[in-house]
Amino acid sequence: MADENETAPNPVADQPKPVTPSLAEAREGLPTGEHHTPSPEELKARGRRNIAIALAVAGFVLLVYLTTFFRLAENLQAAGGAS
Amino acid sequence: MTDTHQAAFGETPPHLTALPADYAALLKPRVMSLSIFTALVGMVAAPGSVANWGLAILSVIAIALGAGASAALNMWWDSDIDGRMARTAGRPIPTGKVPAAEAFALGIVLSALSVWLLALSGGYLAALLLAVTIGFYVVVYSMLLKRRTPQNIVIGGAAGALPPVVGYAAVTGAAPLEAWLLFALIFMWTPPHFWALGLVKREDYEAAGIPMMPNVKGDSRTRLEILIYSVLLVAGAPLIALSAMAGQVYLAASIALGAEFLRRAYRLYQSADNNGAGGLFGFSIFYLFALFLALLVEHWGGLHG
Repeated sequence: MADENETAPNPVADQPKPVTPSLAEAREGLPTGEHHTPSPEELKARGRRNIAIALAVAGFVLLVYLTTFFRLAENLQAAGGAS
Repeated sequence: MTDTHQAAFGETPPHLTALPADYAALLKPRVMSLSIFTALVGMVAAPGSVANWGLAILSVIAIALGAGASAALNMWWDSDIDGRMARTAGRPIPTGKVPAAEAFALGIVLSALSVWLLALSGGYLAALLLAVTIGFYVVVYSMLLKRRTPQNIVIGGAAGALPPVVGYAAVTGAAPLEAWLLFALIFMWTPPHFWALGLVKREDYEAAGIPMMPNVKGDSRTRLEILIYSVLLVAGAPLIALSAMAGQVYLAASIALGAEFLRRAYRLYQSADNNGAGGLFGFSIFYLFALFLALLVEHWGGLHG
């Protein structure tokens, strides 16, 4: 009887390992045995996304700079007019 | 070694080849342009000339970013039903071009940055009103009302009506009753505009399970409600000419265009097969654009008040 139990298939253990890493593995940066080689199309799209992010950040910095500039100019003008 | 994506999906997942334009589409550029336009008119129609155009333009950009942020958050929340509607199935999340979590992150970051930028350029009241606009659109309209009641777009229309008030507040630091007249104009315009679309896209909304007026109350009742709101809109629009914001050009435009709006709404009311719903939807966009353009022309031409 004991031998029969040992050879019986285990539905949990026999399942293939999921290809998606668990959140814990991914967060800890542990090797998962996975590998993906980006295609030229993916690399091109990634490059364009990176450029767009860089332009967006630079654009926002410019917006804050301009806001500061106009605010300062307005306040200096007001101070000049008051004195 | 296994190739994760090949193993999991069999082919390259769409988000790996997503382009900046796919992320830009999350911001609903066409809706954004209407917010920019109405906010700009709110600024120009405010009493006195715009003192600092540099700050005013920066405020308009902040309002546009806020509108885009709320659109991204709306697409994140509605990604499940967008995929079931022909009109929205091509949006970036249902097509898999942009993961929903990235749309959420973009919406949250843009919301914070737009409110912050407007606080710097247009003051705290304008920033508060922009934050309320974003919160109302995402939480009250998208999350609470849209899937629950046929009055969704009536109440939710407040979010779309707020940009001119935000613009007004950005250049004056105040939001008096006068500014809320522009809010009222867009608020009353929203039901006939969206219910005309609801009549045309009835099957779409049915498939997505969204309780738009035609799906819940029927076409006949919807046509009646469109007519009622159209009467209120057309009767109320010329009243803005009584304020210092508008003059004779606006008054003439609101009466002439209002008459055509009413004619189309009445014709739709009388039709048994929703004939004219598409035409009314298109005309409603032109109507609102033309009235705000009249305000803009009057102020730049010094004809108002």
